[in-house]
Amino acid sequence: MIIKTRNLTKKVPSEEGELIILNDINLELEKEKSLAVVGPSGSGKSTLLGLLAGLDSPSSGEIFLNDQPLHELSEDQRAKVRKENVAFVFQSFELLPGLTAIENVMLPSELNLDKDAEARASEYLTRVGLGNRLKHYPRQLSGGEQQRVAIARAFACNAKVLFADEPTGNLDNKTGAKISELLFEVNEESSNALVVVTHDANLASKCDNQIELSEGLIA
Amino acid sequence: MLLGLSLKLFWRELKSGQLSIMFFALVLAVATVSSISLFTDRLEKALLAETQEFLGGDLKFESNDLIEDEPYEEIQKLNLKSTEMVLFASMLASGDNLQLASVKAVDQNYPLVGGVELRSESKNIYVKRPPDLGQVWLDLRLMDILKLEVGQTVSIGDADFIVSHSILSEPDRASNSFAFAPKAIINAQDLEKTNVVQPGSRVRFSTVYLGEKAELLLAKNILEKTKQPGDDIREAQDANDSLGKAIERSGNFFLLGGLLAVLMAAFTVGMSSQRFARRHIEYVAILKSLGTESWEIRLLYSLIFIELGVFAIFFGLILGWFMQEGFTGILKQYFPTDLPTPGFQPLLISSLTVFICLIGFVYPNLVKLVKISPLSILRREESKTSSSSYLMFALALSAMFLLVFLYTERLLLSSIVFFTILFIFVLGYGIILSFFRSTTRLGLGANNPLSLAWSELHRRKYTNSLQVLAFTMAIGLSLIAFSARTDLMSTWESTLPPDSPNNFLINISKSDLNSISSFLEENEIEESTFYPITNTVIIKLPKEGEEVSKPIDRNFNATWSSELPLGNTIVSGEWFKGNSSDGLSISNDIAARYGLDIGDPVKVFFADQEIDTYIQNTREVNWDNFSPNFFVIGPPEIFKNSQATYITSLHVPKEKDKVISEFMSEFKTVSVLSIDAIIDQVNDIIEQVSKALEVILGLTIFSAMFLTLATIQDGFNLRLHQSAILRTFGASTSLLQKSTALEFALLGLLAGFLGALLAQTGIFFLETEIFDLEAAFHANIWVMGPIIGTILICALSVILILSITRKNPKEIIYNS
Repeated sequence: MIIKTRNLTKKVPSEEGELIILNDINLELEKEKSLAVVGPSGSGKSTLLGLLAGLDSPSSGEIFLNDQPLHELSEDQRAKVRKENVAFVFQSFELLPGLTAIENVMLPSELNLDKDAEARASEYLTRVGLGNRLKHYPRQLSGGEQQRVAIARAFACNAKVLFADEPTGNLDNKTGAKISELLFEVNEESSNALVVVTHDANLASKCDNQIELSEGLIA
Repeated sequence: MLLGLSLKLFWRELKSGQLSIMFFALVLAVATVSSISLFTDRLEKALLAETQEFLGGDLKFESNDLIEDEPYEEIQKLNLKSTEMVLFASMLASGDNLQLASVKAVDQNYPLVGGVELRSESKNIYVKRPPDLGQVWLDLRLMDILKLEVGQTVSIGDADFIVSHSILSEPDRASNSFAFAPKAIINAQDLEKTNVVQPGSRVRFSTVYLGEKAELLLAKNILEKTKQPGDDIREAQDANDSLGKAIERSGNFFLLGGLLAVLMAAFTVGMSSQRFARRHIEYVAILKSLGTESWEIRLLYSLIFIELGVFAIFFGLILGWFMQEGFTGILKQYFPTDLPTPGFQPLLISSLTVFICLIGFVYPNLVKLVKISPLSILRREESKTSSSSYLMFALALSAMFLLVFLYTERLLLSSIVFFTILFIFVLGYGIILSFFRSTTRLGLGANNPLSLAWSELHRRKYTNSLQVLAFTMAIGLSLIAFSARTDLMSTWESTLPPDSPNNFLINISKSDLNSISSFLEENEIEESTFYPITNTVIIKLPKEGEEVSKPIDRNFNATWSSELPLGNTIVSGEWFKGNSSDGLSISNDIAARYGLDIGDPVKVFFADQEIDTYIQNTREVNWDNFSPNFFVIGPPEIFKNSQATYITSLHVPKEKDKVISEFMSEFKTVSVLSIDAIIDQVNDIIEQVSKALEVILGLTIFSAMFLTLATIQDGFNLRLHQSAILRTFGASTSLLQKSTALEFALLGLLAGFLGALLAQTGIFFLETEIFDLEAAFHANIWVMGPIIGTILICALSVILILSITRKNPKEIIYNS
């Protein structure tokens, strides 16, 4: 199993007392498989993704990512696990505006002290069809192109799990379809596990497994 | 509607803390400006009252003769109060004791301003009337010498007077003649019976006027016309005593502190408003998408900042009022009367400061915000350098110049301050851009802290240069304030060394010189130069092409010496040397006042002689040193046949106070003027001013901290986002913390050097232009600047980056 959770619960304080975002979630994902997390807004999808990726810590329960007990680790220890195992694609791309496309893609490799960072970044950008836009800054790219850079960056991580949060949410249907195709295509080549949070039924249907969240519970 | 919305937005922004730094910076600026200007306003008013009292009124005319009838009647028609006095030197006798004294006979209107502080049988009283008929007031020294008690009799000429009181203090101390001799005051109606004033006797007739400026000017013009050589016209603002100078100088210190704090507040407001404008891009986008027009958005945001300004003025003025009460409390004891209530001008200046800050430093950011097209706002793009960026620059510079001018009210000084800051800015900008101009290698360099910091320094060279300039301001201006508190103050203190002369011996005859020297030697009191003096009248002779000789409107006590007196420096021309020792040396302010240049022919009258000569050199005279100083000095060759008395100054240690009484008993014709009280007052003022300056230094440092915080905070939104992404991909917090600390340490070091350069340049001009001190190299600021810059800015950045890295990266990404 690349991901495994046991009785995963996340609560946050609010004015009306504690608010339960996720309640007693148990799930497992095998290596090289994909999982779609669907559900209405506010059902806890993004919170679940943050917990599975080690961006956040649970209130109770256990999470194992590539056999690492994330629930027991400090922020810096989780950062180390993320560096070795995780890649992300966000809905709003989250590219660094001051860096060019190639520099954004190089970032994870730099953090891994990879000496071939530039060559790898160039290779991935070419694979996502942006071989001719390497030196462009995010503001010089369209939304679809920015998401392609984000996907190239995710795959440049050489990660074991790719987390994608509404990867087509900010794109039109046509561009969205192309991006989801690209995501699965590249993921298949990389043999990664894939966790996608999405509203897009078409994208969800391409995944090996699906779970639907409703009010913090698996429906 | 817009007003309501603006109030709602303003209140919400203030509550959420987004306007905090800007608000506190403005409150601090208003508090500093209002407290200092309220205080200096009261100080100036008190000084004017003090100088009025010193002169006895607003205008004084002194002559060897009574004013002629015609001008006298003309002046009587003006709406002026006046008092007439007759001054003469006379021997006072009590039994076997005799003493030469200065006698002043005063009329019923005496004193015009202030009052006379008297003592009678250990009771002090303050009176505003002349002595009763048949009574005399004597100063304490005279009573001591004549061994008199209150109630006893003393003779002046043919008349006997009962000593009713001793004089503790009196207005009208600025009399030109006989001022240094022990004093007696009698009623003018008793003058005749003394039979002292006879045709040919040396008497000065003095009239003092008090009234409105316009009427005084008319009176002055009438007097100018009737004025004869030797007559003297003086106005209250001419008074230039050491105490007044000390108070005026302390006012300069306060204003300097205020200016520094205000400049930093202005920059803080500028930095914070930039951040505010960035945060409001989305607000503007939504408003624009809902159909709000640009002018409405401009008005909305202008209203928000006007509300901020009004709020800051309100709280700033309250704080400022309490602060000025504190300053007043510190220096109050040095004024004989209660400090006058302040005028409205300080309040106006404080309010003006806020609006200049807002227009110069905030408005350009609003223009930039409003100009962004809705499309680019929705895509979260910031506009590139546009005409509004240049407008921002131009407006900020104009505002800065205006602020400096508002405080200094001197165009040259404002230009010096302004261009110094501008020069340092251009230099700093140039250094940063050329230092980081080479394009960095590809990537962020996130593999280790040093390469990440280095790469960030290259990437952010434009925003960094702005930050370095703001840090430079904060460090440089704080160093100036620090230096004013320490170095400038100690230079000022050292102008009054502990062995400064504290007694003047006046009216010494040539025959007494040797015995006085022996007396001083016996009592182990160090002797200093005995300067001969004679009363002179100088007439400026017509140059070629001119027809009329112009008398100079006052007489001078001139001395002669072949050595340039200590503390004097030649400004133009040459000191007397060999054959070229036939001209006069005059002080540069006398040269300026009477339009005298090197080589101008003059006629000098002294004793029964007159000599045609010329102006050979002009001198800068140090009036602070409590040594005999002279407006006019001649070479001994000119005055060798003159009958002179001598003057000297002495330092008499406190434990030898009695020696002075012995001296006065032994040398009865010599007058002794003790200035211990004045020296003590000046020293006390220096001490109190340094305490008050500590408060102002504290305010300046607060302002500097606000500016530094606002500057660091300005770039941290971008860093917040970047750190979240880096951490998402596994960057450790220590990597981010170390690289940020390294980056800001380098920026701090650079800002520290530039700040030291700014401070050294600023202090140079302050020393030479404002405080009349010798310019010096201040090594301590060159050490402190870089060290403080590196440590402080690095520490502040670490605090901020720690707050960032403590946040969950997921929250930052999802909430940004």
